Formats: sequence, C-alpha cells, structure tokens
Amino acid sequence: MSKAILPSRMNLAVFKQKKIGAKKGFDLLKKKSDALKKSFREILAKILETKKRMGKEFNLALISLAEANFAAGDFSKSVLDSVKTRTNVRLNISSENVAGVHLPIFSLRGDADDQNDDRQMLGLTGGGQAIQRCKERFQKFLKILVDIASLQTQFITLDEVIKVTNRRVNALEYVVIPRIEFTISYIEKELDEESREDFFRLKKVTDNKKNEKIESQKIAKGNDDLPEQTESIFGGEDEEELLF
Amino acid sequence: MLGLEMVSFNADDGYPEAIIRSLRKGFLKEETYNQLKACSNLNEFKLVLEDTDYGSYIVNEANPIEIVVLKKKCKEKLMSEITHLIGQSTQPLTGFLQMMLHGYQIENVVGVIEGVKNDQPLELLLKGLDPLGYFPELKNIRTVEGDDYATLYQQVLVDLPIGNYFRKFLEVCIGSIGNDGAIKKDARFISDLMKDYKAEKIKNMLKKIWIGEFHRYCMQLPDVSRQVMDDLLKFESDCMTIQIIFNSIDIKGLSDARGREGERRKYINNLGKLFINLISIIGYLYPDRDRELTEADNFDKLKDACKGFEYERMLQQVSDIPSSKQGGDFGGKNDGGANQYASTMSIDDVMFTEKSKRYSMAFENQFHYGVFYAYLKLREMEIKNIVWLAELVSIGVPRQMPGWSKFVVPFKYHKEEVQQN
Repeated sequence: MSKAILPSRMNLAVFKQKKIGAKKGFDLLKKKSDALKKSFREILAKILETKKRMGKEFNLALISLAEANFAAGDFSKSVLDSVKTRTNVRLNISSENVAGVHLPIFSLRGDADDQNDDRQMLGLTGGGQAIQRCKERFQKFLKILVDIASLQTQFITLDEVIKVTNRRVNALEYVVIPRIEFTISYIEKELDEESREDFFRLKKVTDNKKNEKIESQKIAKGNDDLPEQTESIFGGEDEEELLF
Repeated sequence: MLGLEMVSFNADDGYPEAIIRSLRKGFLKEETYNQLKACSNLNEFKLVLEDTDYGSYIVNEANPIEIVVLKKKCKEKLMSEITHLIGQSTQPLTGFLQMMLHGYQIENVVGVIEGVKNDQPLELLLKGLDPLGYFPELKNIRTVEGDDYATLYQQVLVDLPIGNYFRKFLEVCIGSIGNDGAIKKDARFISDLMKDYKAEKIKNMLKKIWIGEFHRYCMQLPDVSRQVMDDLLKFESDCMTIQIIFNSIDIKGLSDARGREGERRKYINNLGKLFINLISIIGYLYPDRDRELTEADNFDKLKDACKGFEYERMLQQVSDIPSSKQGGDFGGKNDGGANQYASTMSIDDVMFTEKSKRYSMAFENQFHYGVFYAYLKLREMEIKNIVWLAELVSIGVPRQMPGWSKFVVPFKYHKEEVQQN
C-alpha cells in the first residue's frame, strides 16, 4: 500500500493528520467500549437477580392459582372464554441511550384492572378474593417476565455493539495506526533519501562548476598577465570559502 | 315424626342409604392425608392414592399423572357412584339426586355454549367438562347462528334436564325490562337482551334459580329430609350471599349505591326482590337482615349485618379483608413467600371448614335425603383436598408453609365435638 503513495511532503502532512485522527478515534472508541462494558455488567447482574426472583415468583403464582382453584373450583374455562382480543395492558417500548447505543426498554402500560371487565365477576359466589390474589400474583409475574425480556434484549443489543466496538478498537490499535505509522516513516525515509540525493547532486554540480572554473582559470593563466593572476587567485579563494 | 320416617323410609330408600353408608368408609382418613403430604413427587402421590377407593380409576394413568387428569378421574368416580345411586333409587329420591346434579350441569351447559360461541371444537369442550355435570344431551349443543340464546333455547335447551332453569332465566330477563307492551318480545328482543349478560352472570343467575328450585323441591319431602335439607340449603345460600357481598366490596360497579340496589341484588339468593315471584327466597338472613346486607359496602357493615348469627363468628375468623390491604403484602416482602401465607384464613377457608362440618353433621342423621347431598358435597371437598395437596406436592412447597394444613378432613370436626361431649 505504502508503495503506491507518493512520498511527498504533502502526503506526509496528510498522514500525520490521519494518525492524529486515528489516535483520537481509538481513544474515543476505547472509552465507549469501556462504558458499554460497564452497563453490560450491570445488566448481567440485574438479569441474574431478576431470574432468581422469577423462579420464586413463579412458584408463588402457581400456589396462588392452586389456592384459587381450591376456593373457587375450576374457573379456568370461564377465564379462557372471556379472553378479549384487546387487553388494557400494553407493552411500551422506549429506549435508553448508553454511549450512543439505543437500548430498548419494555414496560407495561395501562391499567390492569378494568372495571367493566366481567372477569371480576369470577368467583363471586366463592373464592373471589383468592382469584383476585392469584390475578395480582400473575400480574406481578408478568411484570418480571417483561423485565427479563427487556434486560435480555438489552443484553443482546449491547453484546453486539460491544463486539463491533471492540473489533473497531482492535482494528484501530493493531492495524490502522501501525499502518499509518509505517507509511509516515516510509515517507520520511524517502524524503530524507531525496534530500540526501539533492544535496549530493548539488555538491556534484558545484564540484563540476569548480572544476570548470579551475580549467578555465588554467587556460586563462596561460594567456593572461600577473595582476590578472592575483586577482583571479583571490577570487578563487573566495569562492572556495564560500563553498565549504 | 321421626318414628314415622323410620317405618316408611327403608321401604323405598333403605338400599340407597345403605350404599351411601358403606361408601362413607371410603373417605380418606387423616393418616392417608398425612401420607399424601409426605410425598415428594406426583408419582408417590399417585401410589398412595392407588391404595384408596380412587385406586381403580387412576391406576391405569401414565406416570406422572397430570393434576387435571387426577381431578377428573376422582370426579368420575364420584359421578359413577351417584349414577349408580340414581339407578337404584325410586322417586322422589331419584328426582332429588338428579336435581342435586343440576347445579353442575348448569355450569357445563353455560361452559359449552360459551365455548361453541368462541368456535372451539365440541370434542375438546366435552373433554374439559366437569364429570359431575355430564349428561349425554350436552353433545346436542351446536353452533347456532349468532350468539342467540333464544334460538338456542328453542332448539336445544328446552330438551335438556335443566331447560326449566333457562326458561325461568329468560322470563326473568324479560321481566326485568318491565311489562311494557310497546316492546315486542320476540326472539330478536331476547337476543339483544342476552348481549348484556356475560357467561359468568348467566351462570350465577341460573344457579340462583336452581338453588331456589331445589329448595322448593326439598320442601315437599318428608319431615326429616325437609329439615336437614332446608338447613343445608339455607346455610349454603347465606354463605353465597355473604361471599357475594364480600367479593363485590372491591368491585366498584357492584358496591356503589346504585350497584348495591340493582345489580348486586340480582345475584344474591335471598335478596332478590326482582325475582320475588319466580323463586322462593331462602336463607336465614332473609328477610331480617335484608336492608343491612343491601347497604353493606365494607367488611364491617357486612359483619354488622350478620350480627347475632353464627356468620358473625365465621366472619371474625377471616383475616384477609378487601379494601384494607396491608402495605407490604405484595410490595416489599419478596423474601420467604411462606410468610405471606402465615395464619391467614380467607373467607373461603372459613366457609369451607364450616361447610365441611355441616355436611358431616348432616351425614350422621338417619332416614333423610340430606345424606346423599352431604355425601356429594363431602366427596367434592375431598377431591378439592386431594387436588390441593397434589398441587403443593408438584410445586414442591416448603413444609413450613401453613397451606399444607389448609384442607379439611371430613368428619374430623364432628369427631372432635363428639369426644368433647
């Protein structure tokens, strides 16, 4: 790659700029990845806690269902029959911005207790309270499930973003920046080389010029008088001092 | 009076009663309950049950047995006993036994109608029914155009044993609108009317009609039967009334002033002025406490309304009172679910215990039909107990939870009382 780059001063400036940009990007991405990792761990801890709670809540919900069944007889059919296509409880999706990543947050919205709901009539002749309790338990359980769903989705989203970010960080750190540095050093080397070549060429030219002068002086010596000679010697010395 | 019963009772009803007496042996004993409690999984649970009367019904079920199946099998056993009894009995006992089952049949019919309305396959519906309320004609309920009870009634319900109740129900519905001649009372009108009624309401009202009819039937029976059944049904319907008021305290539509006067009364057996001509009004609380009960919109008022009756004592045992929920009940206390159940007696538990006691007592009397009713109810409670324990075993509830002793062993209380005397 670097071979294709014309080693010019302008390119050097461009690459130096690029290097600064890459460094800056690397720092930023590193920070982002750290921030993501932090919230990732937090979510992980929350998931763990919620999942532990889920088991407990599920058992409680089951017990309360058994209790309701015990008190009110089998009411599952009535519940099934009165299932509406539209419930009052809806799922809300909002999002939270963590270091530029939009994490989905699910939350339940709406009042679970619909006063016009004929399900309230369930167990009117026995077990109504038990059914209500069971309902509350399961509602609580549903909330936990939604929490878990929300956390899991956040977890997955974060996981992907972290992977991408880490890849970018690594790419910057181990590929892009070294490459730019290599290019810069290559250009610098080339430029040095060029300047040395120029210098050498210049020297050669002056050498040649001097030789020519000496030659012409020699010819002139043979032809000219003495005063002319001293003058030319001075001039020659002068020139030599100037040169070296 | 009793002497006369003793002379004539055995002529017709001696054999069925003998059967019942022998079946009494089959009630699970406390030791069996303890064994059931000690089980660690449902397989063991089933093994214990196989040694009881239920054995032959569940022995062929695959392990691990599902609780729904277990419940169904137990009920099937009970149902087969009852049908056997019906087969062995003569009138009026046959009628009594059949009427006894009508309550369950109402539930099934309403369930099937609702299911058919929701396009569920009939086979599936029939499978999920309560075996106690099963009768062959149930298969005849098919989809009728629209959700139209009137047509349904004309085509199907009229042939059912419980068609009578539906007829009364429709009459009540029409009657509640008022006898305004301007409204044509044709099928359309009825179907419009029916849209206002939800399945649960219909069921409650039908059952109310049923219990009234049953009570009236019992009133025609010989003395002892009449007394026992009168007491049981009155007690039951009072319990229902209290339950309805208790449960409706939290429902706004039923406990505000308007709801109390109108809507709620419809479900309450002994307060039904709307139905005054249609069903007999039963219950000890009627008519003395009618006013107080109607006005009860919180637990204390309900308790006041029952003052002087034994219901007051029962209500005092109730510890979970609606509308006064203790703050931490569902909020903060996540740890140790067992604590939440500690020493709470719900109204259902109280009534369950009380009913069990009553039925046990009724069973001890002789020469009356109440035994059959008590047998049915006690067995039903026993099945409830079994299912409850099975439920606890399958969830694996810790032993210290008080729920383990929630069930009531039939005859236990009676025995204690006998020992005390």
